[in-house]
Amino acid sequence: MTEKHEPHVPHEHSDPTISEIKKEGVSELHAHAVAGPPPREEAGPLGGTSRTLWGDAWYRLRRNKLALAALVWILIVAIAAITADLWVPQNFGDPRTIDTQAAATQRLLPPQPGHPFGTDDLGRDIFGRVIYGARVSLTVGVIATAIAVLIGVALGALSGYYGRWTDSVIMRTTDIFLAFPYILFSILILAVVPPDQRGIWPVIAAIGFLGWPTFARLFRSSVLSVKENDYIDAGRALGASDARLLFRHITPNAIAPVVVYATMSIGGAILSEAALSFLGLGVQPPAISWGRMIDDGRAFLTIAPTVVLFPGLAILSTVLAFTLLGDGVRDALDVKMKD
Amino acid sequence: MLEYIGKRLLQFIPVFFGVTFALFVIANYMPGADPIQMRYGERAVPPQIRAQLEEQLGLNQPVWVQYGKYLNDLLHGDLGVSNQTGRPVSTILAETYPYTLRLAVFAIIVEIIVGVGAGIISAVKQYSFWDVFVTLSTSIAVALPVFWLGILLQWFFGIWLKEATGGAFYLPISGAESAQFGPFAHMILPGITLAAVSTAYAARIMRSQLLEVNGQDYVRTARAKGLSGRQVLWKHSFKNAMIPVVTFIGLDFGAMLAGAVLTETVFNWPGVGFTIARAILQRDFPIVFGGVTVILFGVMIVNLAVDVSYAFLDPRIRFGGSEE
Repeated sequence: MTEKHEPHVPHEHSDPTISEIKKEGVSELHAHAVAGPPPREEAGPLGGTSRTLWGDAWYRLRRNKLALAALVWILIVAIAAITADLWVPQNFGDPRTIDTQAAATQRLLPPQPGHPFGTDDLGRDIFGRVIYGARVSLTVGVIATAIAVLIGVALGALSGYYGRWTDSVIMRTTDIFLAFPYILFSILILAVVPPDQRGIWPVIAAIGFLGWPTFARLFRSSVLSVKENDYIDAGRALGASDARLLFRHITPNAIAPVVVYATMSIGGAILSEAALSFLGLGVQPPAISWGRMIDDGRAFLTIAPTVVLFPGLAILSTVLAFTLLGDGVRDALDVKMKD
Repeated sequence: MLEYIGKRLLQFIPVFFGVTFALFVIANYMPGADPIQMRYGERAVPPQIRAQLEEQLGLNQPVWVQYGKYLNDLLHGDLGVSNQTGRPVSTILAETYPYTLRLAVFAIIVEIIVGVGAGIISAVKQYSFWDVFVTLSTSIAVALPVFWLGILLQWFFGIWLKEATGGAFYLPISGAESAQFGPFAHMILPGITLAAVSTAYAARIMRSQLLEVNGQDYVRTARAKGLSGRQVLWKHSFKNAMIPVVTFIGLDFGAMLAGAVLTETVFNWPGVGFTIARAILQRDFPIVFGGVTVILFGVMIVNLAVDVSYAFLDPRIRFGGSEE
């Protein structure tokens, strides 16, 4: 039986984003901010010469102020993280090392000139640590999502294109994966990693490895609808191989929902990384992670709540930016996300 | 309908074996998951003791025999003994599970009242101030790290408003029962924390469902008949819009059992999640695996129950027979 016939897709509750996408169709949050598709006679970004799906989408995305703001925020965070070595240690002290003098004299300072976010219990500048923490969060978010997309798209394509037992085996496997609540499964996998080997890569592997089933299902249903099109039959009649049909014709036309969900998933992966690091299963000191910073700051809540406040704001704003960007991409690509 | 329920139950079988097999593999064959080394912690295991333990634990038997033994133990409620205390894991979990359940029930009540309520207000007064407020706040709530929210609530109510609240939420009292405050005072902050994200989703789904139903022909017919807005809402729109919401909330109960790991850790709530988090730090693997297994089974049973109850909720399945 296919997914379509299920009156309710039972597992997707553990990943509410997707069920919400399915339920909502078009985001109401900024429905008023979306300019809608550009009038045909108006010259597009390419001066009206040739217009592609992606060109159109980019054009619409640029007119969506909220999505654009989200994109700008993501770029700011990314650029700050990438260039951190050039300006953070010089201005705020190196947040990756412990300066014994600073640890003694500049402990748990409130925000002030020179330390915009204050300092932590070892006298390290929290602003600098938040910037360096972005490296881990963005790396995990992007690479883990990329892994999930690659596995999911490959298996979803096989499942949707070949059907029959291939489909059954892959879909029943996704059932099993989705029966595990995400956070529990990653806790389980990471708990057996010895503490001295914990770090960014096991986290990426766990999050990436657990994320694929949603992409597989999404891409499968997308492939299923695309492969019914006449141009696929035409291609087949002309003698195109399965591989050519799949890669040249079906995938480009079926990938839009994956792009939308991948954008939102980066935010989800960042949240998961923060949660795992908070539990002590993720990135280990001296590497800096937002989740770990929050865990470390808990002990000083009564005297210096800023230690906990700023890494959390960093997580919230970055995740929110990816969600809003995902909403914007969905509207721009005009993906209904109802399979 | 019976056919539908039967199909659902049949589908559960491969999921059950798949999940238990995955648990078995992670516990025994993941790199770093040597069951004998786990008993020894960081110390080296002497070879003769290793051989003896392999014999004793049946680790030298074929994989499928071991899996069979694992399943058998599992079905008899034998989850092994704690490395640290030597107590049976099943006893430890039996003591902590009621706390997890209690918190989840409390959070579900919050979710139903606040989430559904906010969704209805938002949909009925579309584009009003409240609608914008609900839409914005739910967008933010969805991006919130739960553990951070819990800590912020502790700080805000426990520390910053310590005098105003009479210390009802002052650390470490929040999350622990106390005679001085009401029977639910200790549950309020953990409950809100656990419920926050789900409540936001419930509100969004309620809103979009109600808006969708309001666009249907039968609602227009009801209006055309001259029913008041209120009658249309409660007699027609609400009932139909509720079906997906009820399903979501039902499934969410399962998700809350799982999500409790973070909330319980923040509030030192003595449930299964907190026990798991502590066991991770102490490298007490039988508790970690046992705890995850127990929560997982709770989630699977809830999901199955929701799936089956869907047949009763949705008349299209009850009378139609076809699932389309």
